[in-house]
Amino acid sequence: MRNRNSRFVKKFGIFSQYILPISLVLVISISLTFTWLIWTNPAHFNKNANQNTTSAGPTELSARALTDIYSPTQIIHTDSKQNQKLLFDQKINVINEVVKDVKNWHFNKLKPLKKVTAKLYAETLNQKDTLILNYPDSIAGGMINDIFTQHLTIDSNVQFNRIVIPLGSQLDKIYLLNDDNFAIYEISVSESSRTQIMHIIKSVKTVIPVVEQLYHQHVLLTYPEAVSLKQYSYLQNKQSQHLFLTALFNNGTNGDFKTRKTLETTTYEEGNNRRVVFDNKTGAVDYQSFNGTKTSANLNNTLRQGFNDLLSIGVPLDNTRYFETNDAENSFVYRTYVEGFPIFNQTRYGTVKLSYENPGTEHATFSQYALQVPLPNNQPGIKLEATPTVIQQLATVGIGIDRVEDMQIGYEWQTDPSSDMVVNLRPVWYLEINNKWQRLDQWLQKEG
Amino acid sequence: MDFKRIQWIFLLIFVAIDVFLGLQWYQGIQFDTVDTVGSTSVLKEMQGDDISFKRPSDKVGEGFYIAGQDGPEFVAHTTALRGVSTTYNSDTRMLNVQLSDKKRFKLNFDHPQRTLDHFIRLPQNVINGNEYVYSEELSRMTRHQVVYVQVVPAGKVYDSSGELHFNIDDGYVSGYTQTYISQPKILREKTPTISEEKALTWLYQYNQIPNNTTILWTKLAYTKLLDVNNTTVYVPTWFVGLRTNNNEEVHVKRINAFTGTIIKDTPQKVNIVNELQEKEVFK
Repeated sequence: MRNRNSRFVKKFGIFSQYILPISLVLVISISLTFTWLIWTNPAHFNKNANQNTTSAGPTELSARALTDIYSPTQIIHTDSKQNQKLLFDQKINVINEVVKDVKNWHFNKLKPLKKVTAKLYAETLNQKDTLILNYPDSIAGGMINDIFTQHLTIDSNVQFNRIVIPLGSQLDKIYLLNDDNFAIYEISVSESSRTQIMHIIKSVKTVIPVVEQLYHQHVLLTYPEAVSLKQYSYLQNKQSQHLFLTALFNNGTNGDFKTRKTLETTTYEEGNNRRVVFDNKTGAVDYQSFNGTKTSANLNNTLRQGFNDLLSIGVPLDNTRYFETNDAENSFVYRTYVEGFPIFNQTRYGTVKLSYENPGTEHATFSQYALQVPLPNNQPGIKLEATPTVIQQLATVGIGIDRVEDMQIGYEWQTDPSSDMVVNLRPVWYLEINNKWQRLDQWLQKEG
Repeated sequence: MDFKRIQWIFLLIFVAIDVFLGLQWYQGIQFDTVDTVGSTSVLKEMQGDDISFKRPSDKVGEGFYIAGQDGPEFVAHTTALRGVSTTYNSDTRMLNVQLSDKKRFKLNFDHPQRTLDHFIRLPQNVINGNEYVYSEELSRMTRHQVVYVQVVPAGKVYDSSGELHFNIDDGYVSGYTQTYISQPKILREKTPTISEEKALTWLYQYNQIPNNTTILWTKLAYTKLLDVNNTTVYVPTWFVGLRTNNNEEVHVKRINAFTGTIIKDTPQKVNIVNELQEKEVFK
């Protein structure tokens, strides 16, 4: 044996002594690399969860994606003279077109700007030649990656409610702005192009003059001129209690739930864990689950959880958008949008309100009624007062602008007096004061 | 010497581990690309059920709700037609046009649109003929007919309320039936629709696609959703033409491209007596 070995060594020289150890090191390092790759690839962890959803069958199917619900709701163009215009077009979905184009860009790095004053914040927001994509309330920075299919590393405390895209010739930066704390984040971009975006802006048919204005600690979108908006009618659809029950009680697998019916409400209880209360008159639904997944404190994850919960409730999500959260970020309101404006009065809260106030519980309020199909209607447009007029009216009843947290043009949901199948949507001013949204005339009456 | 043997054993063990880990990793990567809502696994399942199809696109489309009248208004223009005799059926809202013997013409059945495209454009032949285009898919469904569909501002209508059906007798065009949607109007802003991939996989999951089937074509077009008073509302719909492999007949399945629900044969009829209607009457 020794003899053979020594001959072997002689033949290949000193080299052969190392072949074995070197290949051993190589093989070990390859196995380490694979281990690392497998551990860092999230697909391996999601595998089981995904298999569950595919086997769940058609009830889990949804026509809407996460990015539809967490899509910007307004797009504003600031021109070279700093005039701002709200862009809207029936024939082109302007926001979608812009987002589609920006998806082709490459986002390199996100960094927060330091020492941002209210003045600098307003300047960034109102700089000329920009596009502003607005959200009604702050969302998690991580959503940027979903919306624009990017792979930025984003800290979980980053939040924003505006995306500002400067359309200068360079176009190497975009900004995320957060009205809540006047934070600005700068994202360096490459492979950007503005030709397509400029083309989209030019082709937009309806432009409404607006101004993003800083009042005390709030930025409000103001309309310097009166606006005339169309009224809409929709066929409304009442989803059956049965449909929600199958969706909420795990497809009704055990089927043994207690039912209690009174004149006003019908209550279904499954053990001590789940309860649904239907209001027999208004169609309002109140759902509570006490063994929900524990939600994390991170807004990004909670928003995603919210989307999954929306899907599992089974409400139609056509044109439903994220609308707002409370200060504690454990309660979320989603509203249906019509032609770029939110609908109010569908329920007391919005289309759906999700709360995770106590750990491990899920509380959802929504309605059995939903918009189904738009109907042709020949009703005249409604003229809404310009913002300065609204502010004046408020002043006459003693409401100062500093008390107004937000103001928006919205559509009021009104069931048609002559047919309960039809919903009329009428544009009116809505104001949020003390965390409560009400029509302008309601505020004027109450205080007056 | 012993150390060398240990090294060899280690080498072999680690090669085995590498192969195992490599396979794991590769599957993970595969899964990653599959990940989009698990549609791909459904497509695989469909292949397992002997359903053959071309790889569907996962791009979302866009569309509108559209309102129009499919009433008899357009029939007033029959005076412009020459060399034909017409009858109108107010139940089916269909105009039946018979060509006079002189006017009949021979048709190349493989490429009927070459002749018919010219024919329909002339106002003495077809009312508003320039608003229709040839549909290969629908024409293939019946042997003795060539189908043209109406084009509205946002796309094609695949619905019996906006079509031209040319009747063929012995290779000659003998006449046609026409339905027409007048004043198509957009009801709501452009909204994303579901992708072709979703449409196919959902139809399958709703048990609308039997085993051992060939999917011949898919198409996004408008179809009648409901009748409200005298107006019809149209919705973007995925049409899927399929043929079971032991049968020649082509079936068309339809799925609402906004909501993903199966569209039944008869559209919903709604009569609303309210101010909407009154306003229309008084106008």
